Amino acid sequence: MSLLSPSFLALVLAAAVVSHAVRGSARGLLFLALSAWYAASFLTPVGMAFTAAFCLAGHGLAAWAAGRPERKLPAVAPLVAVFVWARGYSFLELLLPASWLAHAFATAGLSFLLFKILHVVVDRADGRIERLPLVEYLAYCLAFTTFLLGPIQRYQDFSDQWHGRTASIEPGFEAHLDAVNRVLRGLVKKFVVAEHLHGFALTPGADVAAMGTGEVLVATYAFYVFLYFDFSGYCDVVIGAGALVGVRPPENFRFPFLAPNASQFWLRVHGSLTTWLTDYVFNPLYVAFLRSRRLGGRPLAAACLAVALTMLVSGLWHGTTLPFVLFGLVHGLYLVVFRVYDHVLRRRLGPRRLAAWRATLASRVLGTALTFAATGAAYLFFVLDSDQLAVLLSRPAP
Amino acid sequence: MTRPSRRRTLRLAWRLLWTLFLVALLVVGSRTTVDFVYRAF
Repeated sequence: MSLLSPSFLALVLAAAVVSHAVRGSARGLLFLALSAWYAASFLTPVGMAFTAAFCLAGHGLAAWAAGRPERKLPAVAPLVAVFVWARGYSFLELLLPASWLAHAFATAGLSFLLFKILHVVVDRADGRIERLPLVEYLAYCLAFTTFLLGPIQRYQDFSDQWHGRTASIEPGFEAHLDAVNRVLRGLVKKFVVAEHLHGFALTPGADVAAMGTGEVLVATYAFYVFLYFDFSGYCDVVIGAGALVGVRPPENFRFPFLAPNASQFWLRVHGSLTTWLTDYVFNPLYVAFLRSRRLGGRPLAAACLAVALTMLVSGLWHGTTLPFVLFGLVHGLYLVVFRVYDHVLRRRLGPRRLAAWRATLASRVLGTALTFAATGAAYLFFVLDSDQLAVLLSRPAP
Repeated sequence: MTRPSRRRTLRLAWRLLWTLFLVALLVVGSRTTVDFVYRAF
């Protein structure tokens, strides 16, 4: 279902009516039915059945681990294993016989769904989610505002808005007009700006062998800008629509091209993913490393290792092949370099002089330009497959 | 009309104009809508 189709407009209008006019369990069931309609437009019946079973398994495991932090890992492991199998990670071909591989159905939105469900299981085990009614949980998992992609909403945020404990939108005509404008702005970003940029962007099928190195680089940066407008446009649409239907997803983008360093970049681009990775991957790893014998007294080394592994997880989450592993590792390297640079500079200059240096125009311009160049170049690994990368990287240096 | 209410009316008018501008940009600039309009006629 395209965001620019009459069906999507009808879906948002119907969900807004359901959200404002229906109360009780009927509201949850109707919202769920509308979200299932959206999901069904991207999935086959087998894919829908699998998605539903995956959500239900998450609910069952969350109930089993409720209030028992020691059950977190055993509850999370089968979900991750099924996810890896269903997404068809390329390394599975080395481990499993061909008949075991899941190519019978296509999945859509499974990466986003996995992170939403893992968060619910972990938070339920740690006692941060006290109740998990099934219909509300399924409405959260399949909500059309965050199902396919977009911001990764937390259950607590969804539930608070669902029950009216926090408002998804200010009362009054102007706030509703702003939400409509947010949807329109997103549609313009996605269907006008991104659509036209796509013609200049590097695409997965590009004949890299026939392109000059400079041409590939320009196309990579064009892809970088295209992806920003495409994805942030999508997020604008679902944030505006979510505000109108009573479950507004969190903000996800904040001018990433202006990020002065790699660390800030990840807070400005797909921010909800970054905070998810920080809470559920980086923090547990960092704490475990600090408690370990080898890294216990070395917080910088512990942080660098934790951040590199977190970005590896991020790379694997973004895609199923080797280039995505490299994409994650390259970003991990950027973050490690930045952390070490920041640490050295802090020791040499002290906090006051470091803050003064960071405030200078030269530092900000240099940092922003370097961050843009480095993060943009990393998208080579996002777009190209292993063979194309091999052709590109085997070229002699100009 | 008092000054605050005039300011509010102007703000609302500006937002409505902005809405119209976005709709126009979408209709004129998007290949999807352009194709839709071509097909319709």
